[in-house]
Amino acid sequence: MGPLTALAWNGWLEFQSETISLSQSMRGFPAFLSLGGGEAPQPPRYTPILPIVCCRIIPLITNMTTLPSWNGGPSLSHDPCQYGISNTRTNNNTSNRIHGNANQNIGNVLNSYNNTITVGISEEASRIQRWLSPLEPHARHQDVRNRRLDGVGNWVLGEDEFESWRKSQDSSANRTLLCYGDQGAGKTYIR
Amino acid sequence: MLTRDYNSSLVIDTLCDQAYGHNIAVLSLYCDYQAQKDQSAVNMIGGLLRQVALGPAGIVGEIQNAFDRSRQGGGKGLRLEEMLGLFVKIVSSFERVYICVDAMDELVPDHRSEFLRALQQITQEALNTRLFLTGRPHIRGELDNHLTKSVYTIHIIPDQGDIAKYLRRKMDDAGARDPDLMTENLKNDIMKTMLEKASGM
Repeated sequence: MGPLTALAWNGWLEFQSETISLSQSMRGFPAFLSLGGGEAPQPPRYTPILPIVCCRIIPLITNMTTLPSWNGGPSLSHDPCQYGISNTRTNNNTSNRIHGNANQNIGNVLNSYNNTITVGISEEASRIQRWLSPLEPHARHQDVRNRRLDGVGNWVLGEDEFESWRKSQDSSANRTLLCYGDQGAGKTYIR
Repeated sequence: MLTRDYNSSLVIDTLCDQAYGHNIAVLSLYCDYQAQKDQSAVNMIGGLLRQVALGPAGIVGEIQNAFDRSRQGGGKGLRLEEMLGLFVKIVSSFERVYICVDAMDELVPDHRSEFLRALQQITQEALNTRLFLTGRPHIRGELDNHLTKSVYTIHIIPDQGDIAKYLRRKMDDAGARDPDLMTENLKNDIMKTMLEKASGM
């Protein structure tokens, strides 16, 4: 196995045009929680301007109305929300865009028809979600998939193990799939 | 396959596409060594719970009740066992639930052990769950220790076509920024060298 085996694994292959060198950051994923530092690109930060949906003033917050919207997407990972308008600031520019994912006032689930249900959720629901966990996995997934190149890595999907796992029955002994790979040698080498 | 996050992202999207029209949930978690302190087992399971907490009619009843009880009791968070109980109960309404966890090796070892035990409990109690995990090779041994059932494994190795595709994109980006520095000759040199090294030559 070549020294660049690890190139395939666990890191960003970043081309650094200034030094004409290639480096691989240690990070498999940019932290969806860490808000600064690190050499991996950070996802854009979203600053919600208006939680425009369903912030009705209702005294009984436990009964706050929710306004589901259906975007027809197949799942929660498919750009779950066309929901809010935000002011998105990146390093060099500022643009308005419709987004949803990075806004924590958003929830989505798969329903029986597998549409993404996007709910402009109430403060109460948002509070409950934060109470459950500070982690916000949706935003990270969307960030990664936006940068994925079409076709890269597709071979994994054709592996027998993937299909066997995906189609495994509830009674099956094997209901876990692990994708593992080396890491370490590549980073040093590529630098 | 160039990066593991691509891998996970691709698998998650593929599962979602294939889930279309079915009562299937695809849940994802991402581990990151820079956020280790937040990635305790209880927060990780809480992160899964968050993803099933909202139903078509808002927060699902079990979670709302738990929250109300907690508020009456001073607002304490749920214990891991309570979370697991809620999770198993809620996901039972799905035909199938895929739980995708990326970069298991980036969790603190103690957290990882506890998290793996929790996942084990979930798969034992909710037979409709499937786990998709990624990590460095040493994770294999830990899975064997914590998951009583055997696992399917795929060894991720670099694919020349993937590397070339990825490099081309990165070099084109760099060339767009600094056309004087990133010449065609340099691009060709980099491509040739990288592919040679990647193939172990």
